[in-house]
Amino acid sequence: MYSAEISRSNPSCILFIIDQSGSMSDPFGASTKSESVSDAINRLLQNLVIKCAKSEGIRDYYHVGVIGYGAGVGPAFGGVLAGKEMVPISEIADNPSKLDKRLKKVPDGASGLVDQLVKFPVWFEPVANGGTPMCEAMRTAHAVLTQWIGEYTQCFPPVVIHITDGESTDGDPTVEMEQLRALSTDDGNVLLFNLHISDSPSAVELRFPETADALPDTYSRVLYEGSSPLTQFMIQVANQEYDLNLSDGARGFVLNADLTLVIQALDIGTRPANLR
Amino acid sequence: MRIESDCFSLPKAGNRSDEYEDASHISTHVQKDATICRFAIADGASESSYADLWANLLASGYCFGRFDGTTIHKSVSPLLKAWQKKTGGKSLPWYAQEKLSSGAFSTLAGITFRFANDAESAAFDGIAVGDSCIFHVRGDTVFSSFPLSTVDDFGRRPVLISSNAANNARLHAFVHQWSGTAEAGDAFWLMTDALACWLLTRYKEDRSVIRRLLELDGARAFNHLVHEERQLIHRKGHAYLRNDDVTFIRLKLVKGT
Repeated sequence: MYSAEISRSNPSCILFIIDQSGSMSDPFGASTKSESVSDAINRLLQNLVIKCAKSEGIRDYYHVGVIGYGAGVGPAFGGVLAGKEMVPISEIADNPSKLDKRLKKVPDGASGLVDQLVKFPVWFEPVANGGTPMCEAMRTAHAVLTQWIGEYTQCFPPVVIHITDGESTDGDPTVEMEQLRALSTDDGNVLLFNLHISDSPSAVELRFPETADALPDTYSRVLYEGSSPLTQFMIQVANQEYDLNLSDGARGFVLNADLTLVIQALDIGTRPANLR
Repeated sequence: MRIESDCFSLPKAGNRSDEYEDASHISTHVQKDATICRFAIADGASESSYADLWANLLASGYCFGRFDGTTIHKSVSPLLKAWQKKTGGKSLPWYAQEKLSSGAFSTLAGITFRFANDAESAAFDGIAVGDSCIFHVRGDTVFSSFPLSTVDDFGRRPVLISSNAANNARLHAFVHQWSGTAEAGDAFWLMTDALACWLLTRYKEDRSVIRRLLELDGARAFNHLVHEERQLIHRKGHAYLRNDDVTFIRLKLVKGT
């Protein structure tokens, strides 16, 4: 399980589900929850594109979709990608809405870090509008992935990355998340990972917990319970490259933390240990 | 003494031949009373760009005698500049710029033989970074293997030589060195990781794999073996030979000139 080769002829799929509801305008740290969401999705897409970049261009190892939910539920890309449920990663690479400039920490060759100015692609601006129809978003994802799996039954199973503040307004999404995880290719079940942005006073930064003990509220616990366990390979990457100390049972759930690890832990060939 | 060599290679199934990112190089320097032969393979990492160019620079750099395992940074320095010169100055999309700035990454495994022309043995020394391997074969036995010796040693995240010096800060700790004496009749096999791991898997089951490789009689036979072993499923559920670029330099030390 979770061992199918990911290649251009056997692509995999990553589906993002992002919360764009009115509650996302709440302050969060130095900005708002919606800014945290747009920053997280832009960063994850950037990492995925760079992972698939080669000297000749982008290799389409992944098909990618983004479902937004708030005032409505549906494909969230704008510009030339507007309305598309699933596109090859090369189309995403070539169509950010703008390129910002940001400082990035890079190794200086002497075990330190220096700031380097890099182009940061932006596909999503902060959006906060309407209710939080999380159950409907999960059902939409189910429909999109059912169709994709029908075409790619032997491929590495789709990875779903859901970013939210967790406050569903159309009911408890537990059953819908379970139905999403029940979808499968010949290589395993759909992997559902949740990134919870929480402004609960007791919410600490938490990555891939093995129990719900340290979670601050019901919203966190529902998302934790709905998350797939990390695969063995992901646990290995987490421990070797990210200096985490995860064991079997670590869930694909993070609280107020970065989920880039799951992108880096998708195996498309040799990744040097000294590539950061 | 002389060394007979064959080099076989094949890209990953599903990739075009111009997407092959391994490299191999061979050089012979005949001096008045001794000969120096160098052989090297390099395996460019798939998650980096211009890795084929970098692998080629490393393998050829080794065979031009530019590598000294004790001062790896000094050895690599002119090669970094060559890579930067060949890849710089291009107008690239944002993702290609970002990938380029990370640098390319590659393994390197190289071996040098020094012998008098009338000798029946040769001194050798080798260096390796990453999971490309060299096997010393005597008769039907793997006499020694370098730098890895068991299937479990092959991970997918080795520390490699980068064309961006900033990524090489800890590299010296991952340079392996090897030396010894070889006799006429011995064989040395340089293999990139998928093939090296396959050899150790097969060898553990049955030593006949040695004869099979000694008797390979050309590129066609090598291609057939690779295709066959990529299809065969091991009891653990994976293919015997992982789908990856494969490179094999086969050396035989022979009496006479």
